[in-house]
Amino acid sequence: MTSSRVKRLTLDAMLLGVAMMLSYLEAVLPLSLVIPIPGAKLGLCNVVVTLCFYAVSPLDAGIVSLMRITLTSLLFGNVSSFIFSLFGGFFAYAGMWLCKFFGDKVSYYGISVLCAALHNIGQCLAGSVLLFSFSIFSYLPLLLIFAVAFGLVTGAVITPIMRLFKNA
Amino acid sequence: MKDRIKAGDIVIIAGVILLAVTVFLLFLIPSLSDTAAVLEISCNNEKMVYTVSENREIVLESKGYTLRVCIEDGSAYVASSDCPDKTCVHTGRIDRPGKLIACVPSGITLRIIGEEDGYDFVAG
Repeated sequence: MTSSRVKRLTLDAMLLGVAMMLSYLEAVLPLSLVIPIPGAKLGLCNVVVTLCFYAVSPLDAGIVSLMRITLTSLLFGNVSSFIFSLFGGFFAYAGMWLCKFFGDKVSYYGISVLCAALHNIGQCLAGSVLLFSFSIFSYLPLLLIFAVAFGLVTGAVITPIMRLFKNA
Repeated sequence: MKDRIKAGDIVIIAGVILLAVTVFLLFLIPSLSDTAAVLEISCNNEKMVYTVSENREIVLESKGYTLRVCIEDGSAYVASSDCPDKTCVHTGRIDRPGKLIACVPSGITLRIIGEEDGYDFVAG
């Protein structure tokens, strides 16, 4: 193994650990305690996945995201929460690819907002599949408004971290 | 650089808000009409619909059995039945959309239909 591959593997493992820790943090200290919206969360894991996407590689980001979802579902979740997370994670990851084609026309703020929104759309789709009903989409408008707000917050978190990453 | 808010970000944010408003309006339009939960009774291949907001008693006859159904305070239940297993009576009250009482011997089913509400779990 060359040193660059070791570095990449170590970085991915570290990012996965951070993502799992953030998942856990958001599970034990849910934002819904402060804001009475079930399921409202900052999506701090997306900070890690976005970092990985732009600082390591898109493939690594996909693997870290998938591993994070699988491991946290095994540790703290159930089959239903796994399916919800998987749909959300996949859509958010697809959003990152979409942003890649926009290039420098979008900043980390826009990327975060788009990923948060797509994450919510993915979760609504997962709910529709599990419940055989599209009625869950009635909840989507509220989620999307929060996606904009929380996406801007996570964008503000990503921007300085990415600057540090690039300089390292 | 991706450090500052760009025009593309504004387009994304505007798009998400526009989608939120569109979905909201799509769900608002049908809910302007009556969406109160109703009891749907299927008996002898016939479907009957009753509102659950009005208290009443319905007597159903099918395949030689007689069921007495009561609608009371927004819920429905089978008060009595002369079917052999009495599962329909033991099911108790149904009040939420999707809930069902089925009496197999008589082939009668009661189902609450309407807007779903509440949630079962929150996923991460």
